[in-house]
Amino acid sequence: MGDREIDQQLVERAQHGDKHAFELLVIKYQRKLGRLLSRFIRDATEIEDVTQEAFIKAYRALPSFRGESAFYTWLYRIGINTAKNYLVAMGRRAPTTTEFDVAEAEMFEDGEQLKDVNTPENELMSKQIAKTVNQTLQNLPGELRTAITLREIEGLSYEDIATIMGCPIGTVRSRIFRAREAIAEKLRPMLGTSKDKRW
Amino acid sequence: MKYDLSAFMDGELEPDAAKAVLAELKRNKEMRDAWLDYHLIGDVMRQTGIITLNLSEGFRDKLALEPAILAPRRPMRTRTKIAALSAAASLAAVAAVAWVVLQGNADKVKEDKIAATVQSNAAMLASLPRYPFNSTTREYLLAHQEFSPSTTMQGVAPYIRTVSDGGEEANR
Repeated sequence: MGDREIDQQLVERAQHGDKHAFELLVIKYQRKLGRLLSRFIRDATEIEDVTQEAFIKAYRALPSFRGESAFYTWLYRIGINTAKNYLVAMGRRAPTTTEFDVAEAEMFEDGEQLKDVNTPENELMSKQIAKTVNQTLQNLPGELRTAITLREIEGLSYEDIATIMGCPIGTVRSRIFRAREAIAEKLRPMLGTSKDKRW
Repeated sequence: MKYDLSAFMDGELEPDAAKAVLAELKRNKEMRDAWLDYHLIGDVMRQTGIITLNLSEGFRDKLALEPAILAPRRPMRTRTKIAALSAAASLAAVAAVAWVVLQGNADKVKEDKIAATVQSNAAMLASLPRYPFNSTTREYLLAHQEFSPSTTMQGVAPYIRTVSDGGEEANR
């Protein structure tokens, strides 16, 4: 089961009344969609509002989603249209289709631009989260660090990672889980644990 | 269960185990928190998102106001092959059963036809006028019955008549 199949399962559940399933898709794609929209909306609060609006529109349009394209491709199109409509409503110039392409947007390196859209508080929080993740990653045992890096950055399958690392697939699975848990353990105090803060 | 969640996120979990993870995600907050954490870690490592963007607080309330969707179930592309194979297998099974049944019926139809022919021949025989045939006439008719136009129409009736007439003659 690949990434697309996971999304498809969640979509099918949401299409049959399971709102929790849609919430999982929101958690998964909110940051990516936000980054995409930051290409033509600068204000951090506006980005959050438009991203949220795009997800609500996507939820309402779920019955028409037939799985012919990947969920995120479909979602991003909705996001772009929502952003365009927002800019028109605000009397600002909306980008043309040629200015913006979903596939290009995914490859887009926007580190500098993100600094512009972040508030000082968000900027500080972003830096702290990134620092925590990177530091914890560096302190992990080599085999855990390699396994999660090959998975998250290189996007390799467990089978490929097992071949590269010369170990069974079950070991790869265990190493990636342990790496994630070690990093998440360090992040949790920063992200908050109250019911209001997290799902 | 978080161990399975990690593999599920990577698309490396068997379908049955994936179903169990999805069910657990629905009822277990700790699992949903882990889902958020693991995706955040991935986004930070790949630098593919606004790290601080978290719609969790407001979005859930907004989503709660939305009516639940109850879309009709559609056959998904991944299921097409299985569905086609199932349909083909069902069709083959129905065809096999139908063939067996029809074969049985065909035999029965044959038997019915024979019975009907015998009955009609007997009735026709009974309705024929009786002539006082002598042995010369019988031999003549027997020798020339293949030229009789009634042979094809009446099946074996003329022959039966001759034989039975012969039997009656012998009884006399």
